[in-house]
Amino acid sequence: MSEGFRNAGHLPKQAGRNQADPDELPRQRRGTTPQMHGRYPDFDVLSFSDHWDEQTRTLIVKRVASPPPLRFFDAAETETLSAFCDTVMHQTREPRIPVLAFIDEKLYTGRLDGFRYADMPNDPDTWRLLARALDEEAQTRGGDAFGRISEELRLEIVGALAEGELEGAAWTAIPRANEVAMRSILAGFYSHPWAWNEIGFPGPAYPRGYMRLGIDQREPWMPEEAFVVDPVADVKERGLE
Amino acid sequence: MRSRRNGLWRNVRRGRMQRTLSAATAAAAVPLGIEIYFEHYRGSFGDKWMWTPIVLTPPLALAGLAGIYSERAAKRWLPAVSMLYALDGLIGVVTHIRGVRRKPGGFKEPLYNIVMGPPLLAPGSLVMVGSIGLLAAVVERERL
Repeated sequence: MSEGFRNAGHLPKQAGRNQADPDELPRQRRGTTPQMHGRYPDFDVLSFSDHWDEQTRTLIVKRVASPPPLRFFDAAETETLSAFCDTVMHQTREPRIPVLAFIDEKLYTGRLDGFRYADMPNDPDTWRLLARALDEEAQTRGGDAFGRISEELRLEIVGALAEGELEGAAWTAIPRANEVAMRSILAGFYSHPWAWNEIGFPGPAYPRGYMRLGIDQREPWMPEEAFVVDPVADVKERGLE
Repeated sequence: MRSRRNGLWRNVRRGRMQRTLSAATAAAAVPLGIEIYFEHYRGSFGDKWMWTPIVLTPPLALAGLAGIYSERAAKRWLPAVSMLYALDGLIGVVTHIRGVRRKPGGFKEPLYNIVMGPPLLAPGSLVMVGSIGLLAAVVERERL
């Protein structure tokens, strides 16, 4: 609950058990962030869309206005993998970034990353195998599909997956499933303007570019962090050091 | 020494400043030309016009120096080169505006492109230095 956001401790992979609650962050006033909390409550990156060229603007606005339809995954896989994406990204309520939609599009259109692990199936197969393995694991631990077991059990499973602790034939077939999945999940999540609002990223720097290139300088249009906890003092205060 | 300084002061008060202004032109042109060289070097001399202020600077400095010693130079060569220098400054304002316009986003991103593009009104300094040279030609020469 009170782990703070300055260090990486609140990230699902790091935490697993003791997740920081985004309600500790200011409520988003302009724009949208996942779960409507963030460090930049008055920042809406989409208000910069006039500063992007036509192609960029179309592409980015589309990510928000009309996310791609799910065509690669079937209904059961969608339920399982949506739950997986939301668990690892700690999206516990709306608004959520539809991460799986972007992954589905990539797999459906076959526009993959152009590389893969030698000891792994290709990415589309990996995702299907991952869905099956997650469901099997969930059946064993919670008696239901991954999308229907408790949040706590899901966290336990993704934690074990990240640590490489899961065993069984389903998992040995995809030894690096976590790396492959997280690569696409992070790419999907952080290519979405709502994630940019959350982290204060001002979007593409073209044609307007950066001009204040020195250390500790902020571009005039860049948002200022509204939630500043000095981690050094904070960690000491809570006796975590 | 004292009388000499009084002499300079009297000349200035009477507007007899030809040698002083010639020297000022030469003294201002040299650092300006060097500065322009560095800035245009940074801009990779993308336009051949960027060489013109650099080419014109040595003649102006020489004409200014000559104007200190020769009234003929101050009245003939100095104004001729000064005029070219000033005109080049006016052309420079136009080319710099064009340079900002040609940057990605042009004047639709005015703040960024004016800050990062060619300094819009900087070529005006050539007009200023050229004007000092022109002025030198028309004022009276100092009496010593």
